[in-house]
Amino acid sequence: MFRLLPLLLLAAMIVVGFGIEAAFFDRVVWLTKLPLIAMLALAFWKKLR
Amino acid sequence: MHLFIELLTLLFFLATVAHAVWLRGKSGAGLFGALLFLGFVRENFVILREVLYGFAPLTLMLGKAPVIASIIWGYSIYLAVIWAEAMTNESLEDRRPSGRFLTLAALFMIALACFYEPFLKLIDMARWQSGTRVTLDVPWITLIGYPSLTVLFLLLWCQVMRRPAGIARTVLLLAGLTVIALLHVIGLQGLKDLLRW
Repeated sequence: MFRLLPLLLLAAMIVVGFGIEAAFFDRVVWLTKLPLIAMLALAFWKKLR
Repeated sequence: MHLFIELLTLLFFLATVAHAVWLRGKSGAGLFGALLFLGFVRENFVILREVLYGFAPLTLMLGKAPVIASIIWGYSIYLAVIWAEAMTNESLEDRRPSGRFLTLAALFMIALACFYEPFLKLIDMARWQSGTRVTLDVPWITLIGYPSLTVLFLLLWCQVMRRPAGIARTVLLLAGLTVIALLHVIGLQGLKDLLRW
């Protein structure tokens, strides 16, 4: 799992992005983040299964 | 808010550098040295030539370009490497990335472009040339720019690192990175003009 640590950081960055969008702009951009979220999920699923 | 984003990205960048050094030793440090050099040359060239995009006034600068612009390439390409390694069970340390590895790294960079660009537009940090064609605030040209620089870098890095260590290899690497950085900017702007993107 240590090998995937940078991907966890990226997941944290996505969460921060969502937070900033919601807090400052009253909108959350989901659609364009979905491919990246799916790719991260795939990597972690592959590692954990 | 811009300073917060700059500092957070710098923090994440340093964490990934530490990860690379911990996991790959000197090779990891060299990889990030090369990526930082690539980002520094490319982004300063973008600013000096006034092509593709510009930036809001930012606090942390490296030369004429913002620090965040120089380091984001290294951060992103390393993430693409980690993800492609996880999906293919290959290692960049083998210096012979397969077509599948390079394709997956390129796809990951496209997904990153779709994450970064709408956010950068929303917080008004990056400013693309007026008339740049976009969908959902993702400039079309980024879908070529992000993956192409990544693949070019990985091919150069693996090719050069197969040579024996020494000054000649370092000089060859730096020269290759400079050529890639400059040609990528010129080529991307040329393609953007040609396609009217």
